[in-house]
Amino acid sequence: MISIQSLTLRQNNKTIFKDFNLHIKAKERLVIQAESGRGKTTLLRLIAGLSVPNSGEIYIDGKLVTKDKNILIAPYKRKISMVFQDLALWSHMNVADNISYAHRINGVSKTKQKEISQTMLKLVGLEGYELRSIDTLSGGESQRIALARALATEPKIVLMDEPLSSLDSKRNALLRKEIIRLQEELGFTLLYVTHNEVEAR
Amino acid sequence: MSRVFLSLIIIIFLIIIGLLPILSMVGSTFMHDGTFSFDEYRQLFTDQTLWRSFYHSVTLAGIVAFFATIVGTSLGILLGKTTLYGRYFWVILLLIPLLIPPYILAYGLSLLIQSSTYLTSLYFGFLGTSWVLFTIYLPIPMLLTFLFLQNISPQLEEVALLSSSWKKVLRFITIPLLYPAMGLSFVLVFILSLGESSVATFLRYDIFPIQSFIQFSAFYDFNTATIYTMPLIVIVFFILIAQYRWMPLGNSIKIFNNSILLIKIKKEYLTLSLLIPFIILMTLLPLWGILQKSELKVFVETITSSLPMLLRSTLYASIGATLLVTFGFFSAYIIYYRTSKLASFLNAMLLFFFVLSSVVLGIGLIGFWNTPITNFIYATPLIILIGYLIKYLFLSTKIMEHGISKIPYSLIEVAQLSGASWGQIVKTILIPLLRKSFMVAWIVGFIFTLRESTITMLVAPAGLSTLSISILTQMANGKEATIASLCLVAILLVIVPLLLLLALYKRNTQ
Amino acid sequence: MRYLLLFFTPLLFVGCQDKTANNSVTIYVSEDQVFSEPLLKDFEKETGIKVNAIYDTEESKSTGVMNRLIAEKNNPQADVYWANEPIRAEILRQKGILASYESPNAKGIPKQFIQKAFYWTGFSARVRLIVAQEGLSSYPSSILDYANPQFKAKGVIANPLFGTTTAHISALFTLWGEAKTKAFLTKLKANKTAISTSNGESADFVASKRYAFSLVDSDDAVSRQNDGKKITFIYPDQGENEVGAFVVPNAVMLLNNAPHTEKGKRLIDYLLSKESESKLAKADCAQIPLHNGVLAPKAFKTLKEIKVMPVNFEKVAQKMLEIQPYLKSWIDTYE
Repeated sequence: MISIQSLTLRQNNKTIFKDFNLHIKAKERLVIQAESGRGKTTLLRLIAGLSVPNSGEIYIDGKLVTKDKNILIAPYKRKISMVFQDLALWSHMNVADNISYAHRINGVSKTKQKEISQTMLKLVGLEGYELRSIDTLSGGESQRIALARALATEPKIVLMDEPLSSLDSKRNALLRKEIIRLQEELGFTLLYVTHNEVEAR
Repeated sequence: MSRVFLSLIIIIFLIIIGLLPILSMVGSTFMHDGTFSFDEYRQLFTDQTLWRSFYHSVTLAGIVAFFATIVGTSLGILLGKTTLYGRYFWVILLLIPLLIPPYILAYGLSLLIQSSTYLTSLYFGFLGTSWVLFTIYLPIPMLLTFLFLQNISPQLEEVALLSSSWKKVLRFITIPLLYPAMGLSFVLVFILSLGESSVATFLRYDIFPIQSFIQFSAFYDFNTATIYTMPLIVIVFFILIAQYRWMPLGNSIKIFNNSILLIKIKKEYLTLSLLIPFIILMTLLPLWGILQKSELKVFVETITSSLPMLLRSTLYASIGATLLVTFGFFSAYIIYYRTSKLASFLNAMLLFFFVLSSVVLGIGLIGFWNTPITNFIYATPLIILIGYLIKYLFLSTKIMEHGISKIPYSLIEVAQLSGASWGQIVKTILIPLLRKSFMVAWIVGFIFTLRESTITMLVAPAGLSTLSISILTQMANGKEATIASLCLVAILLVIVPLLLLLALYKRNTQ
Repeated sequence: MRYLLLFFTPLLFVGCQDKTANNSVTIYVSEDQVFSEPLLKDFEKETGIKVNAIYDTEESKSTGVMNRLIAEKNNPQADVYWANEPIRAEILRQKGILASYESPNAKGIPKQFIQKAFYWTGFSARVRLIVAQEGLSSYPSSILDYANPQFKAKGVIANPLFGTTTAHISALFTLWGEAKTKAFLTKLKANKTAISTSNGESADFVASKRYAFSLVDSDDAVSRQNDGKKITFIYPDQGENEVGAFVVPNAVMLLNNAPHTEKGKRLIDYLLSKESESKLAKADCAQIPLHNGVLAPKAFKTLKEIKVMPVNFEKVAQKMLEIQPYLKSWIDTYE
């Protein structure tokens, strides 16, 4: 599904990747655990197309999407979703609008958008949260909404950048199980990065 | 001396030099033959032609604010958020109208079109006035957009980029997040356009501040002149209350230092082919109008004969900038760290002075400071410096506040734990860390005090005229080549610090 | 702390400029700086007394410094005021802002142009004349032609709220009476006379053929002619039963409680001298001398050669204050 070949990246006079190779199969669940500053987030950004390497190739589903410093296929065409470390929920939209954003901007009808939001919220256990403001959500609720948004587009690949780092251990464990369940149920390829050893296990 | 006590002294000082003159001027309008009376205000409500001018002013300000906000925000995004070739250069060119005296722009364009009766008849009036004001204030929304773009976490846009192209991200994410900047821009440009009278006076468009001026100059009725400024003061007052309630214009605006996600523009030549003619029309044409009237020989002669005046202008602007930076730092300290219960009041007062018409400020200063006891202030350049300080302290305070907001409070707390007093913390921690903010505030203060004309014209002692006054007095029957030469000097004196400012900004954002 | 001191040291120089102690005189000037400044510079060179001047701007229409004088009445900063017409000098006198001074150089100036108690003295005059495009089929000869249907929509006049136009209309009020003058102004409006912002602009309109004629000051007329514009001058109302041309002298006056009274008097003497009048006659402003024996500018006739409107400036000043509200409503209802 994802294939990285001979990737090299230098940033601020530091080599982040040198001739790096990685192959991830479809529907595989891969967790990368490393200390902070090792390039975990950078790897996800490269796969998503939000950053470019100095050299190397990235394939997604057999297609060459990035070659050296060139983005050959734009991020929004790669069928990838990402949950950022700070979740990046849009506070000027409510929960439902956050989840159905991709559908709204692609001209999907309002009825269908509503249906999708409701389905996703049910999936993450937050039914009835459609009209809530982002600012009123707790940490755990925000994580679930970010996840719901990421899954709403039925992506083939989901990238997660330390999405549970701000949660306490109990909620962290609960949500980890949720993520695994959803991955098995919906069958997407998951690339999860964390610095936390317990979380990685 | 405790910082609470010093804060109080500074606030009281600013009240004495700035607020008391205004209050005393306003207070005198309620006195008639020694008794309190509203009689003088009656004419304000009965004079229909006054309200016609008021309608002109509000319409003009509204239209200028609307178009400046839309176009300025768009330019802010184009030049602040894309990789457009030469974008810093275009920013410099677009900033020039804001930084030179407004009437120079109006004058430059008039020189260009003076041979065409049709264009002149269009230009002198509402159309010309609104065009010139639009050109002058367009940089404000543009600059605010640059500032607020730093508030947008790049990840908010990146997560959207995973679902859509940049076009849609701009429409659904970036621009909605810029709504506070647009609201702020509209309010600022509206208030500034409402109080600006030199352009409308030059272009013969009847607006409200001119009515006050007529009372002052044709009827010698200072009380009525002051009363005629009250509607503007009231509007500004209500706008300030509204923004305090709904939009933190005057309060500390926390500006984050996010890096801005840049959009790579395809077909740059197409964008440039639209942008360049726009910039030529806005900035270069009026300057060309001035340039074509100037002659090198006259330019050299003018500089030689005006050298004392030019040196004086530069000296006053430099001292003015230094005062602005010093008081700006302390005001920012008081407001940001809330070292006084009057911090919010100070904030509001500085904003009030900034948006208040310069004619009102000047009249207030004359009435208050022209006494035998205060002659050491009124009869010296100190009165001009007071005018600069009151008018522009808001700008330098906000710049310093922005700098202070970037300093983590933990740095101060560590110093406190080490036993440093607040004065030592200011000297050894804050001031060194705020070096860049000091430089920026000084340059901005220099540019604005150099360009200031209305207050200076009203209060400058005899024999101490500045460059901006010289240009205005020459406009009465002076030779066009001489006027053009002085205008060119005014522009050059602004461009050099402007380039320095941009060099600092570039270094800061790299 | 050292750096703060460094920044503030220049303030000491700025603050210590005490003009009461040094060898200087302060004058506020309503005459255009480009014409008045050279004369003041000559005074400096000849006497060694520094002249500190404030000039009016185009925006304030020659009333800005006057209003500053009124505002500073209780603590005068200026010693001398050079007004570009005597009406406002009269207003200042009536407000108690002037001091009487009979300059020895006032001898030879016609009494009509000197305040009877010497509160102000006139010098170097302008004539209000009609400037017209060359090649017209007929020319106006009187101010009344503004109301003549033959010249409908062809004339332009400066805003009567400011400048010498106010003085001229006030003079007509004193000579013709209220009824006749108001009727004339009503007809002038009905005759679609345009209103400009200044005499200079009126002259420009005629020079650019936007309008056929205008009543302007002689210095505005001659400067356009010197620029090569094709215009001609007409001295209005020169007929037997007509009022004559309005002559507007500059006026110089000493201020009450001035900081440097003696130096102020010296400056007044200098401005009233024949030499000064000669310089102003030769300058681009082409002002007409009031002293006998001083050559008039080539472009104009001497005062002896024209019929001069018999004006009592004291009455004109009083009338001007009375009619201001009427003039404001007249201009406000102008379409």
